[in-house]
Amino acid sequence: MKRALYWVVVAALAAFCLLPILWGVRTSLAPPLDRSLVPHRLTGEHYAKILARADFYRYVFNSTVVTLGAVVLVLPLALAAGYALGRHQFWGRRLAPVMLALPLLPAVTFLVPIARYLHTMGLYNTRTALILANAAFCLPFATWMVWNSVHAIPPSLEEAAFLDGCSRVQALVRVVLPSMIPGAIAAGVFVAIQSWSNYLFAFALTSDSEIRVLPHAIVEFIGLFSTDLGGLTAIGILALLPPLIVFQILQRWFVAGMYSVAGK
Amino acid sequence: MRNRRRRPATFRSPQWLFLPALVFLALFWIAPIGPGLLISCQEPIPGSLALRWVGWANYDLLLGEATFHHNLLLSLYYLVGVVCLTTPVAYAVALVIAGQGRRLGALRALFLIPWVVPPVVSALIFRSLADPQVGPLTALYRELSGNPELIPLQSGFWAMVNVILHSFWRSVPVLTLFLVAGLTTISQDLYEAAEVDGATAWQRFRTITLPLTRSHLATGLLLISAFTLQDAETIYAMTGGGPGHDTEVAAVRLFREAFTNGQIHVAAAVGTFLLAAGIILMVLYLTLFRRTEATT
Repeated sequence: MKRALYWVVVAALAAFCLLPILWGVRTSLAPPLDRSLVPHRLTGEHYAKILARADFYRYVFNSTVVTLGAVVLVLPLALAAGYALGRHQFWGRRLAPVMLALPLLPAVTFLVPIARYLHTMGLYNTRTALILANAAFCLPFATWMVWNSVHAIPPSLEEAAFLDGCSRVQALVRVVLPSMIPGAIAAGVFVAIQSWSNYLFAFALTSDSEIRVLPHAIVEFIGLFSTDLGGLTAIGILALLPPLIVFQILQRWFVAGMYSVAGK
Repeated sequence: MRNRRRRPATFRSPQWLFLPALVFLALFWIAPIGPGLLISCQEPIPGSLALRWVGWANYDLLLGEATFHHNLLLSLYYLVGVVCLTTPVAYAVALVIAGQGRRLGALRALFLIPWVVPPVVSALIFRSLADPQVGPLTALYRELSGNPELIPLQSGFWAMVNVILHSFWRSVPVLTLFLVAGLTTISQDLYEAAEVDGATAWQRFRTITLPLTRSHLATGLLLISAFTLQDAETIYAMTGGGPGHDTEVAAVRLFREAFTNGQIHVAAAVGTFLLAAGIILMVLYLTLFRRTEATT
């Protein structure tokens, strides 16, 4: 009896998490104005319509560039800073809580001055601007994830390498770096999912449709085709697939990394 | 010095590894604060891109304006609504996950999924859930309101309900993360002892679970609150701030003023209010962070 109740709760909570997504999938596959919860027939027309648009591939390309750019920019910074914080007692340790709390400040506040900055630097309306903004937003949390994973590596590992005749840099590259890979993967997945999803920076820092990213395009589509729920959910599901796939493949490291951060 | 002898293989100058990240963050997060405050005390000179000093005029304008009071009130509703809905559900999820121990690791990943969905996409899905023709939430809202003709996103109240439900759905995984981490630190013996003493499930929750996960709850809630406070994008994608100004929380107001109306000086003044609220949240967070560090 108690076990049965337990599984009912599990099922209800799983439904809570998954049903909205399933509803999105349903709507993207249902013929327009099919009101039943389970559509009478399925159609691929909405997806065909989206995939036939040349601009869709441009948005995907732009999103991919911005996402990869942010990951490539954040990882070295986060690995270096996370390592320093995890291994050493220095003034950075006292500064770190402030640094890590920065994303708690409302990013939307900073967009006005940042847009003006980027304008004077000639970066307004470029993918570089989006890469920089996403990287700055994700860096604190990524650093935190790496910092946690460094805690899990015994310092004796480095000492052993040093005693075996490695230089400091060699010890770092050959011994420490490989053992930081789980933390780096977790941080990388976090940055990728955040950057892929971000709309705020894209809307504030770009206006040219040539460099428009997918979330920005989706909001534009909502404005243009607000009644075409099938088409809108189809592009939504397509935008959701890459982060979901990355999450599925790398979830072992990512989920562990996320839970370890929350445990701090 | 002592440190170096004990750990000979580590870098002597860790600050050089830390500095690049620090400089990058300072440029993005600290440097814009000054210019932002400056803009909030200026106004554009008609016919040019330059700005001129006007002192408190923008703040006076906002504080004397009914719309802005409404914006702030909606932000408060949004914050309180999301926090009150998220907390009990996140506890339920966390207890389920923690109760499974290692056996059902897949559950951990499952409950993170709402967080993986891009906010714009989940906002779009919730928009379709409240669609007047086919949306299942529409049916629910019509039942609750007693109005069979209700078009949820055309009604200020129900549009806000939909906005809150959506953020609630997205927030559960975040808070759950923190609560699971907190729950795993509680010794099973405590629960067994309580059960021997005849404590009910609710008593066990109130006297053991709740106090011992309080700091995790606080950190998770602050993260959610900060996110909710600054959230412009999901509302923008779902309702555009409408109908009228009925879902225009302060962050959406800022967004509209800056990037739709081109009133960056008004936007900057709204930003100051959000920044103040954000700093209050951050101070709370830092205080709690220090307290947990001191006790562990």
